[in-house]
Amino acid sequence: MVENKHKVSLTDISIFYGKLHVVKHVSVELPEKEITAIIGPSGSGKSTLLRSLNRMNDHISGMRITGEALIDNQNILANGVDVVMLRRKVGMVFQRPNPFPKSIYENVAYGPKLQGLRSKADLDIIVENSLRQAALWDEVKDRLHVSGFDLSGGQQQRLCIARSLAVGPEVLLMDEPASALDPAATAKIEELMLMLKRTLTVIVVTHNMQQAARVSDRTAFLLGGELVEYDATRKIFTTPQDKRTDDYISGKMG
Amino acid sequence: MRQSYTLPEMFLLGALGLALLPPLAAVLYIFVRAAAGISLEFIFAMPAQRGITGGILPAIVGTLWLLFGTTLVVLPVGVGAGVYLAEFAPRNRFTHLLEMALINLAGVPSVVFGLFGYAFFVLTLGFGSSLLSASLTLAIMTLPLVVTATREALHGVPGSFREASLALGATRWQAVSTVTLPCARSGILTGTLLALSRAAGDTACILITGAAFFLPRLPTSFMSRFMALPYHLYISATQLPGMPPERIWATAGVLLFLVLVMQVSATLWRERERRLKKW
Repeated sequence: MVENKHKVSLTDISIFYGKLHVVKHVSVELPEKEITAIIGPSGSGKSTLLRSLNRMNDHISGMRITGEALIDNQNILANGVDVVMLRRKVGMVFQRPNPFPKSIYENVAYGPKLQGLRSKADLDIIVENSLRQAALWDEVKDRLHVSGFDLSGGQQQRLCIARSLAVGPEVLLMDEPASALDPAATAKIEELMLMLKRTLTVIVVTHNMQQAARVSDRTAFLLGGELVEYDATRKIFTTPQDKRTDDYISGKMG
Repeated sequence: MRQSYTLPEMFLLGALGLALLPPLAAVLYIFVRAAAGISLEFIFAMPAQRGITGGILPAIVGTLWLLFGTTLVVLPVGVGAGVYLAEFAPRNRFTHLLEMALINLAGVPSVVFGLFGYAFFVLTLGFGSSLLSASLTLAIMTLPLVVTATREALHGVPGSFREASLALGATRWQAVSTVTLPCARSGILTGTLLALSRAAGDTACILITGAAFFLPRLPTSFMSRFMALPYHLYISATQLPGMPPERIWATAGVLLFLVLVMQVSATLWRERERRLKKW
């Protein structure tokens, strides 16, 4: 297997909420165009770690982060970093589908419009391409102007994925993207993730170990804010090196 | 079907009756009495003989001008302040204190604001007794209501919308202007409408800042003195022997109608938006 170049490199990342040390000295390198799963019990700091990669934690007062986080060799935690530009490059999909109370079309066109794109023809193309990439186009092409809320939960989540893709990200952060969905809708999201990794680096936080095993190339196991083990997913799930990893994936913990 | 009520239930039901019947009866009584005095002339003519004959057109127009002037100030300033508090102010003790202060300011008696308006706008700034002074005074009275309504409407918008917008590369202002503010629009507008309906009926704020009892012409600018419905009602009911009672009731009826229209449209609007919302 050819090793892809590293897209994201974290060195000694620690994150604090006030005095609470939520993520502890995490160092990890994530290859380009692969899916990395971050697993671990509730409160292990998975989401916090994920949200530091597009600086969404900045909006939480009392948050402090130390260490170095490189994306394409640029330190995204540096003071001068343009957070807006960073978030165009690093998209995010949330746990619960959260389309805007706008039409399907307007949801997808939202990001490009923020950047000042006004041409109807250009927007039409971006909307169609993004919806196709998110495997939603065929289901909604005849009703692009109905509210995003009229879609099913699974469709709403794919709409949110399309909305992120419309901005042209290189990295996609997914925070338990299927935890609010039924098994059929979950399967579709997983299928979609496998398609997305052809062009994107995907980092997914999940509670669902089968999901991590099914879709990810690499898995990082977090416990109490510490990175216990990080390796090829196959290895993590067949021959884990750490007893705690073994306990967790075999269901003896959390 | 229930056969009997327990004692506490009877008490609560009685309280409900006492709470609802008198105000309803008052409204109904006013409209019934007003019917005798209402005519096209009463609404569309200038007053004559110190208001004993003729109509109340200048009072109706004056009140509408006041509402217009108050809106011009209250909408940008009140909504702007509310948006700042809800979306941009740091979450600390000082902000919290400010929010508490605003809520309590809404309870300040309007006559106090009236006195301030007289001292500050009429005398110090030299605006004189005018629509300008009175509108500004009413604006000060209603601002805390509008700021609070705006703040609460914005707090009602799910944080996940804001988050989604920021994650797509929106600046904080873009997230507010393209997502949160449009979602809160109906709450802000109904809150503003309710605040304005309070301004429409307020007498104390305009009493010494520019309202006149008898002025048989329409205001021509914001520097004009003016007639207004609540003040006209107050004077004709208390200071004017010989005023035919049906004219007093009719004035009350017109004022009540105006305020009810504002309140009912605010309520209907809110209900409609609530049904359309799915979050």
